Amino acid sequence: MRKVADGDMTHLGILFERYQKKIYNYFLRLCQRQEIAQDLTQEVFYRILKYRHTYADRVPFAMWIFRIAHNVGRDHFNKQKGDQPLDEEMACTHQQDPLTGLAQGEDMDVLKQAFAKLSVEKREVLILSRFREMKYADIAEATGISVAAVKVRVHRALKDLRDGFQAVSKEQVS
Amino acid sequence: MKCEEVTGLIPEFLAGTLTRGEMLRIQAHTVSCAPCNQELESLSSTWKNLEHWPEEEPPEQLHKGFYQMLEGYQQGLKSSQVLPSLLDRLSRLLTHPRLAMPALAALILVAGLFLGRSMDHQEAPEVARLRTDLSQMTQLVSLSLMENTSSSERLTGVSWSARLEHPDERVIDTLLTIVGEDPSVNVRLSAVEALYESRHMPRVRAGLVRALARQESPLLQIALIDSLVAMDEKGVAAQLQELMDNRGINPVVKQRAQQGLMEIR
Repeated sequence: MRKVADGDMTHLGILFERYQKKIYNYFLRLCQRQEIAQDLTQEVFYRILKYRHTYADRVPFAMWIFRIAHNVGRDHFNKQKGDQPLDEEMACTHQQDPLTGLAQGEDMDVLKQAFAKLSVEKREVLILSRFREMKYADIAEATGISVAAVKVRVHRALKDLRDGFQAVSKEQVS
Repeated sequence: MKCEEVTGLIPEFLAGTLTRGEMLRIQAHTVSCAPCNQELESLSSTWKNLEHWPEEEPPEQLHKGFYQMLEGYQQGLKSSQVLPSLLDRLSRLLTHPRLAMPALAALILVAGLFLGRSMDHQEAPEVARLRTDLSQMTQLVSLSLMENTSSSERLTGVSWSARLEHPDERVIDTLLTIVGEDPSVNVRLSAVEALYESRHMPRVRAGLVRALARQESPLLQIALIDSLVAMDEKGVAAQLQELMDNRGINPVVKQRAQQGLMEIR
């Protein structure tokens, strides 16, 4: 990233190849909408290009890019705030894909539904902790909250996901 | 270790980020405490289930869009001599029927950034001409995006139109049509915001007053009232009075109409 910040743009391609899948899947799990995940990922790399001068060496690039992703996601959800009940088309909610649903089994579909019902903040810390295997200190840095708050949020998110999973399972049985 | 402490550490236990000592203490506690053991088991099951959620490959379009953006940026950085060819390229892309509009929008944005930098210095006539060309192109792109079938593309088009210093009649008409007819509330709301930038134009004010009369979405009604009141548009008074007298109207809208009426009087 230092080379990119100094103007060597060829290295941005290397960073893109290395991180595009991680960032895309971060947004995909957050939104469960492919087209939105694609737009938001594109926006992350655009912001890296635009704000490359602000990159500081003391911050690992992985943390910096997720901080940008967090900001892009926050801007997106702020835009959506208050509109979701009125505009389902733009809402970031779970959509069942019949093909992947069959391939991954019903439990995965139920899990995705329960995941989509968590707040954005809870979804985000679970993604960073579970899928990106980030330490709480790094999650705190990326999301702008304290380590203690991350700890509490991950715990609540996991409990809510478990309860939501059980509730959705029951709904489907009855 | 107390139960509360143990359950609080379960996520870190599952993530394997605790020290060996802490892990052992939790294991020792859960062996002798049935409720904590049950909590650990159930949360562990949820944690493991997440493991089966596979990662997906990003779509090819993302790849293409990124490299188009990067290429445009690199060309823009080279020198002002390269800029005309970049704009030629944008012109060609604009007429390319199969090109993704977001990629084109990114390219224009990059060109805009380049021109923005040149503002720091004395503006050469060719830079001024390029700025005009770029503005026209931005206008065309925004119009094209606003007519797209995808609401996210239309949303991008609307936000692009808000960047225009002097949007022409076509842009204003398209934005007013969107406020009145677009199926997406988000796109309509963005169009109201974009039109606010052109509030000095009488046709914009009149168009927004007409739109308020036709809106049924409370969010849109509130956005329109707020915008028209912020413009101090006296012509909306009758419409606000009508909303206040309407028994079936959303109470928040009614309240906002009442406040608005007091403010513009």
